[in-house]
Amino acid sequence: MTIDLRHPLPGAHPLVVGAGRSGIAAARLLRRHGLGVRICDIRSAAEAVEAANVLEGIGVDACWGSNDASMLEGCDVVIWSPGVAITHPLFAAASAAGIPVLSELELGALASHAPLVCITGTNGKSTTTDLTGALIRAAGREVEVCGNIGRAICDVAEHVGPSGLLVVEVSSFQLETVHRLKPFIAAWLNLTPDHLDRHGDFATYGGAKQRLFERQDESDWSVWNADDAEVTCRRTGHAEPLEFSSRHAVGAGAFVDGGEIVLEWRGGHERLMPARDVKLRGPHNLMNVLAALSATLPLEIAPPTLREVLADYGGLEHRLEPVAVVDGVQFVNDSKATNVASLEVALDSYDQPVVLIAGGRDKGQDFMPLRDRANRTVKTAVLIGEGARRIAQAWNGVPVLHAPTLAEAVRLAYEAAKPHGTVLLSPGCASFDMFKDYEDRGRQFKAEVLRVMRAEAQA
Amino acid sequence: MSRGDRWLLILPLVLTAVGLVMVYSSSAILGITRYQDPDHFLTKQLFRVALGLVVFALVALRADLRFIERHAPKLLGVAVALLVFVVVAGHVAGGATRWIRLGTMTLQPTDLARLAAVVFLAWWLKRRPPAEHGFARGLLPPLAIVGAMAGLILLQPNLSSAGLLAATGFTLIFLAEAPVLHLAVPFGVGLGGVAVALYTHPYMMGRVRTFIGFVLTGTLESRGSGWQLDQSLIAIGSGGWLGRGLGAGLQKYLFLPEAHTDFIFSILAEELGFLGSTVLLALFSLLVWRGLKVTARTADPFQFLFAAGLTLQLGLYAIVNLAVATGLAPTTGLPLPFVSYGGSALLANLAAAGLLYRISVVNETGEAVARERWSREAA
Repeated sequence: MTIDLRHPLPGAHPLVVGAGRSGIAAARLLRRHGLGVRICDIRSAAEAVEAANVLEGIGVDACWGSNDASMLEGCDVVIWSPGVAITHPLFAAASAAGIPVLSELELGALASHAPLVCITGTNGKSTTTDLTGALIRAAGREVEVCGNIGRAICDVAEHVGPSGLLVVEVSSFQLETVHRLKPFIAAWLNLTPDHLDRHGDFATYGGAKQRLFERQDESDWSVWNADDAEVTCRRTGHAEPLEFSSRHAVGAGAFVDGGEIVLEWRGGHERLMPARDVKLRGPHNLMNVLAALSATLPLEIAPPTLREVLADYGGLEHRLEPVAVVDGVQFVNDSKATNVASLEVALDSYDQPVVLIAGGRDKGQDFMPLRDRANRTVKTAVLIGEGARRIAQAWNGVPVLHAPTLAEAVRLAYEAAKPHGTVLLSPGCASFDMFKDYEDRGRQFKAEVLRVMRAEAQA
Repeated sequence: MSRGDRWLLILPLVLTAVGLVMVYSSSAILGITRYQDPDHFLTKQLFRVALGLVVFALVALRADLRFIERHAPKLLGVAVALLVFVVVAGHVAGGATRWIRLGTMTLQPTDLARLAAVVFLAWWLKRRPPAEHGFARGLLPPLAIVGAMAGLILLQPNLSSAGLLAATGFTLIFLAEAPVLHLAVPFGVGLGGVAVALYTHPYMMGRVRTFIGFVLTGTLESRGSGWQLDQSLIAIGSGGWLGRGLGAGLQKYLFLPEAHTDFIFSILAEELGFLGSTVLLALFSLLVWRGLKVTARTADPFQFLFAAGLTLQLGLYAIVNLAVATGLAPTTGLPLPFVSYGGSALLANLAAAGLLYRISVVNETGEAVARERWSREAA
């Protein structure tokens, strides 16, 4: 059987592990190319009705509630979903049997005719990825934004021709099982401890990110945060380097000088615009903007186009998203804050004390480093979910309320914030204990705010 | 009734017809993906062509060259006012712009400005021949005005149109027999202008380096900055001798952006091959040749410079557009006269061709020349 991908797949009988969004996208792509696909998932068919229906519709052999080594029988290549940890016994079994294991990201990259712009880091990936896509789109070039944000790469990889670009948000999970990925442009935004429940330790986590750059050559571009020592000491690969910094000038890339954003490209020097004219607020977003600008330098987008987009781009849902003002109380949805560093960024964006709604799945994170900051900028903390106890213990001195549900949390926070405060949902934890994902959590938060608003209007 | 040069009627019409066919062929896919309508761009262009043909017929049959000459300064005033308006309105709206919206049509003042500049230069240079009036009183005022217009266009920002306007002005001054020493000044100012543009937009230096890299080494950054040119060259190359056949091109399937505007030649070359491209080049060469012939036959200095300026405009736009599509010049956004999708450029070019024909009518017979001489001696 011939496999008509842009680059050959190292096998003709694939097994897809994990039937989440990425796994289904991978199965769909393989089916499009006429391959018989088996997919396995730990959940039962009853638990994943939607997925089961989709997979049945496209003729995939789905094995529910089972993912032991017997799944490998008759398979010669494994596609690994980012949602499944590689500590799973099936991974070791495949390796022992000499069966290649590819991540869903790599499968998408093999299928794509378009060059890849990959963006990784601990925080700011989604915003930077989306902004990079917006810049490229404004320049008139065909582009799809995919990965963690929006659609899975396997779903859109073949939508873009060779003159377009795929902008991919890449998580460290995707990189664990990557072998031949060679992005045209790869950017590393920052590195702080996260996902240590999956990767085990910080060194492994950083090492996973490095894999994005390892196969790049001199014709490719790498983009590095020059302000982040953890990124700087992990620089690797053979790509032409670009840098970004908010503190000092760089040889090639984007930086801030006297309040102005400056681009350095092939000896040319463009004072692009004052940083305060950028619509995205906050110091963390300035770094995201600088990263997106550096990553698009090799595309030589005209400065007026860049200025237009930056003055207009308002950011993403669930990232410090202003929801509504109810009777003087401002509600902000930062549901995307799934770790301590994102929570810190959110608190940094406020000068006045806020009422914080936090908590969620306990990933073994340490909230202690935020204690002083929380004491300064958190008026009251309303805690939800598994992680509530850990946060309450760590933040000695911060007034704490406990809420069994998000609805109750919103109500308590609203009362605490009256008359002119801010309610910030920035959980600092993953969402999987009470919600489907962070988007679900953010939408439910917004729905609750709407309910409060209606109640106030009737009163 | 005297007859003008019929080539100047036929060639623009043939080129416009070729344009309509190519606009349809190159824009149908884009129309489907963007507006769910393959005829979207064709319909709009048909409307513009209809309008253009009315303008063309009116100008070719009725235009009064003496009237145009008399009102040259007013025409210039209107054009400059529109240019200023675009720049100011653009800055108020928080970004650069090149257009004025008129209902469903958009007007690019640059297209009026380049015709007005030619009319004005011909008017001025006839009245104050540079050789007699010296530099300060003869050449400096028109240079300043054309320079200012180029500057306004540069602010839009539209470097390539500004450059072509400056080149046209320079050539007209040369044709008006300005002393070589005087020519050195605008030439120097022009070079200075390029230097200043590069200094104030140093980012352009990087792009110039990229282009020089392509010219010297032949390596194109096809995934990065060279993607448009790369797709254009693929289109031209895959056309072969006879092309893939009209409508059968592949590059317009969203591989090549601006396929119906700046890169329409690439689609033509892909679908009609080397043969079709050669015919297109021949049509343009013929047009420029007839334009120059009319120019050489004029008796009146205004009409001489006017005809020369119009011919230059048509020729230069065609040359630069084709050079961009084939990688002989850095990528800029200039339409191919008569052929590319677009409204005000088509109107301006049809008006220019109509005026050339009109000039050929007036100067066709020896009588015209004699009449001119007689009226001059009588004065």
